[in-house]
Amino acid sequence: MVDLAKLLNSDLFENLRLELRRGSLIIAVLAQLREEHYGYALRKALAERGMEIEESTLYPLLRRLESQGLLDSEWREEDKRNKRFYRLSKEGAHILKQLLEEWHSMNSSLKRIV
Amino acid sequence: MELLERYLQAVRAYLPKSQQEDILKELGENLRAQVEDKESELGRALNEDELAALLKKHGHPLFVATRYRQTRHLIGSTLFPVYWFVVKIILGFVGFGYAISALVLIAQGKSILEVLAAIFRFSGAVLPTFAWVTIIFAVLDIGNNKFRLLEKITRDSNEKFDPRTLPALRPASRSPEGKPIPRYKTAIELFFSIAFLLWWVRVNPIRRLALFMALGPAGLADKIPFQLGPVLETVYWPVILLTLVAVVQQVVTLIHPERLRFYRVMRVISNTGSVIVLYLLSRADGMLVLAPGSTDPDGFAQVLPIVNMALHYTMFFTAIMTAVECFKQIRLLFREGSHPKAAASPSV
Repeated sequence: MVDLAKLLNSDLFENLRLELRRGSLIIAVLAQLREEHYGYALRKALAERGMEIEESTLYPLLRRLESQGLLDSEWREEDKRNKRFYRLSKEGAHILKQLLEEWHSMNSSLKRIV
Repeated sequence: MELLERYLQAVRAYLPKSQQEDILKELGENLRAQVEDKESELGRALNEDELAALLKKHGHPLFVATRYRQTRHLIGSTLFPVYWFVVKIILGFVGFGYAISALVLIAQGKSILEVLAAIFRFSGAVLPTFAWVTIIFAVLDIGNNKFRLLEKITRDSNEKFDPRTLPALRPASRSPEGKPIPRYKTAIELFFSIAFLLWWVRVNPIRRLALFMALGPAGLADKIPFQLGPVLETVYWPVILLTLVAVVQQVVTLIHPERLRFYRVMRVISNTGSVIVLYLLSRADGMLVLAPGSTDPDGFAQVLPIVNMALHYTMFFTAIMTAVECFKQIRLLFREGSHPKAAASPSV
């Protein structure tokens, strides 16, 4: 019984952690793409700053953000290889500014509460 | 890097068709960049175990592809590939059942209207089937979202996933010529081959339908003004034989759509035979002759040369098109025979 409770708790924690992380990842990706990157380079850049993201999460996320108009992309050759480079769009920059304001406001509120 | 191509091939199977090429091109480039990064770190090429470990970390192909699917409101992206696969299988079986029953009606000598009604009933049967399958999967999806069963199973299979057990590369997945023959295409061809065979051996409703399509309402008249000329009697058995060859090829291709060599050899045989038959027909003086007891023999005698000329040119152009198709299959046979590895080119 104790093991089952532990298992349920760890599952619950994992789900809550993922929920908490989901929104933050979008802010991190949008902010990092103020500078142009292709998928793998972006993942490395985020990891260097302490934000590890699985490839299977990051690559579909980039396509989704692009389809929402928050990112622009273009195929270009680099090191004799064709790569898809992403960059924050005008609309994306506007949304990022709003998201950052919201994040700062929530952060200060949480600090006061916790 | 063959393992990487096999991995991408496995991911492709679960991706929506419209986005396959684009997603795989990008995913392939990202994975290659990751491999190169790792290799420059180690100062040597990755061995198979290291590459397998890297791909395993990237995730099970189903799990990876699922992330690319858009969120669906009725059936979630996790269950959607399974749902779509089941829908296609069920619709295929229902369609096949109706095609068989239509052919049985034709063989029984039922009227054209009854046969057409049986075919149109298919659309009536498809909708409830589609609705039931969707409802069942929607309920399963609700259960899955509540208890996260599939997520646990996927996580488990992701942990057990070994990229080295992925299937070998399929030949020429990049070119449409190297892909397995789509089953729906073969099923349609099989239906028409059997219908043609029944027409040729003089099953009445089919013959009347064909005459109606060729001659309009006059084709449905009790006294049909034309009948087949002697040349058609000469090619009667060769045509039956060629159609049976086509039927055998289509049945085998329906069961094994990946057997391209068999498909091509059989196509070359039936196309060569068809070109010979069509050549004989196009050289004949008249494919149709006046039927005895016609109500207006003089009038139909004036129309007959025009009908025969139209048939002559139709046979001639069909012979050219069949010969071109035959050469195409021979060229592909030689290419695949002399460069079997070239056919297994990377899919992205």
